[in-house]
Amino acid sequence: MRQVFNKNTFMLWRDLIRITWQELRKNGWRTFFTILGIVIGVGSIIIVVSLGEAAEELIVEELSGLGSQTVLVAAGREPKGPADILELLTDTLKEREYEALQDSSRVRNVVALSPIIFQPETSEFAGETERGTLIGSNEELFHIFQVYPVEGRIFSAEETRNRASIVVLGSKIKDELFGPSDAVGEMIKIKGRSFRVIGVLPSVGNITIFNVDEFMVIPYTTVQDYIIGTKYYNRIILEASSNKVIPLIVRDIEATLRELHDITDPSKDDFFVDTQADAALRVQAVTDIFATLLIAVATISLIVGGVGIMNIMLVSVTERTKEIGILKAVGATKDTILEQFLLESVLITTIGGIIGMIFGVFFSYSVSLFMQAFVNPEWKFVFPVSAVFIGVFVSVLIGVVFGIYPARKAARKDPIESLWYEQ
Amino acid sequence: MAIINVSGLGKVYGKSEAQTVAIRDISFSVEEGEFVAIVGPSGSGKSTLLHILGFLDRPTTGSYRFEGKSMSEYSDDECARIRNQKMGFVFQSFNLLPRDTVEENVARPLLYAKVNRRERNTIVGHALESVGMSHRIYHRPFELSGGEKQRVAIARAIVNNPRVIFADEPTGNLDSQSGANVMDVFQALHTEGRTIILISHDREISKHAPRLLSIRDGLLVSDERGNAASVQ
Repeated sequence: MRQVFNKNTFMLWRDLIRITWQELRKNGWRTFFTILGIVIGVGSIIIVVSLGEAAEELIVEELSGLGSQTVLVAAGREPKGPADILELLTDTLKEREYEALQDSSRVRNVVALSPIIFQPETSEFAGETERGTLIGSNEELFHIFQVYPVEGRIFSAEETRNRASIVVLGSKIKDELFGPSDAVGEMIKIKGRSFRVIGVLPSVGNITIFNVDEFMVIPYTTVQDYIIGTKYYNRIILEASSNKVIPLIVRDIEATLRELHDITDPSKDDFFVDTQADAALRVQAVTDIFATLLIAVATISLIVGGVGIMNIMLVSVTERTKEIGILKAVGATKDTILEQFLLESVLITTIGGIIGMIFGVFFSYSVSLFMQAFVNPEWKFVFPVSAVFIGVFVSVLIGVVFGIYPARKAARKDPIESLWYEQ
Repeated sequence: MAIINVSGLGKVYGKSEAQTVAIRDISFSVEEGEFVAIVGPSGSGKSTLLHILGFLDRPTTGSYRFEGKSMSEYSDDECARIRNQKMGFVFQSFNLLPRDTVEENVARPLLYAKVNRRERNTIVGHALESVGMSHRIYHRPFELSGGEKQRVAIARAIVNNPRVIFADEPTGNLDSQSGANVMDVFQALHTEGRTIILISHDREISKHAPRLLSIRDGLLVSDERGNAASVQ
């Protein structure tokens, strides 16, 4: 007698898939409507992740502008709410702190360092006035911000030491005061004192909280002695030699300033250190909330879709009762029937998931085109690789979870009752 | 050794008040190569008997030994495997899978027996050839006549080279010419040495079988050998 059997418990997969595919094709439209829930659910996941990542990238980019290697030290406690804003106006960053942070034995891996004093101020030239931001700093500020004059030059270290009365203007201030004519070499008045314009910056918009276009940059020594009359700084900006050393720098700064201020309890810090990574984290916290909400909606859609699949599979099991009887008569075991119906529901949800992904990617891409054209040319399309994997996994999972009950029902049917079942 | 041996076989449906006795105290044996017809009027219990013999149902009393081993020793899945590998079924209403082609229908038992595609095609080809249906291999059941459907069903029943073929009123839905053709196929299978158990209420059909078991009201009333028609 020929040997036609082997001990493998599973039906050949290719045949199983072929049989399942035939079943799905038979019920084309019914299957299509059934998978809509899955399509919408998986599509939402893709859209949420794609648009969320794109928005986050854009916001982080806008916020930072400074590059990820910058570390910001601010005077006062870290603002926790509106009431803490006043704390920013404290006098905890002075020459002593600036010098300590410059000391490379205390804070290592720093390549540039700038103190910053800022306050709103009005500038005046030939009867024209314009409000802007007075910035007192040193020449390294231009390197850290990576903004260099399009006309004229930046000031030198010597000019900073000598309290020179010179100013570098932001593009908007220059335009308002001088219009199309040259500004370099002219004298403008700030707080009644004359300053020579030595450079004009290009239009770059916002860098962190500053609008560079409204800048009036003056050596910090000049600002302290002739304009404000105090020795405080609002910020000290440091640039690290690489991204990797940022945690080390933060630690060094904290240790240095705590030592200087006799602080043992970090919660009593009278300064705070902010990195671009922190800024990114804060943005992420906000986008995460939105993402969570939308994922919740997607989950509900998937569950509703799953219940729909279960429903249609139960109908299908009943409709195919006689067929199940025939299969059992020719030797299908419970497991074989279970596999067949389970594979069917998994195939349905997976197809739904794939359609959802295509729809989600297409939608996200369309939105990114729209954003680029009408809202912000910097908007980028993000292909959500992680979401695609999650989408596939979730589709298969929904197929298994909601397919198992109908499949078991099919597997447990009595062969005789099924064979003689009349529709 | 007998392939089939039943003794004191009984089947009762339902519980207490609503009980129906389908068959009672049936005993007989079938040897390898026999062609047995089980006859009786409708409701006599012959279908119930066939279901039990075909491992589709279990008896409530008595014992059934298939190949010397008691059916009660087999689990449901093992029964499915026995049906798949050692039994073939032919039904009155053909019971072909409507969406599968002729080839796929016949191949289905081989699928459950994990026979690979190439081997399957060869075996299915032979089976269809032996029932004269090779020319309809890619057709679907709705494109076939009743007689053709039944011949496809027979091909499916023999494709796993079973030890016993069970046929439940195989000509019941056919005109007399198609019925005669189908019975010729059974005759040929019998001549090849296959064991066939066929049930029918039609004494004409049962004349093809050399052995005749008569059932009435769930009881075996006669067991005749040497049917005239079969001794040709």
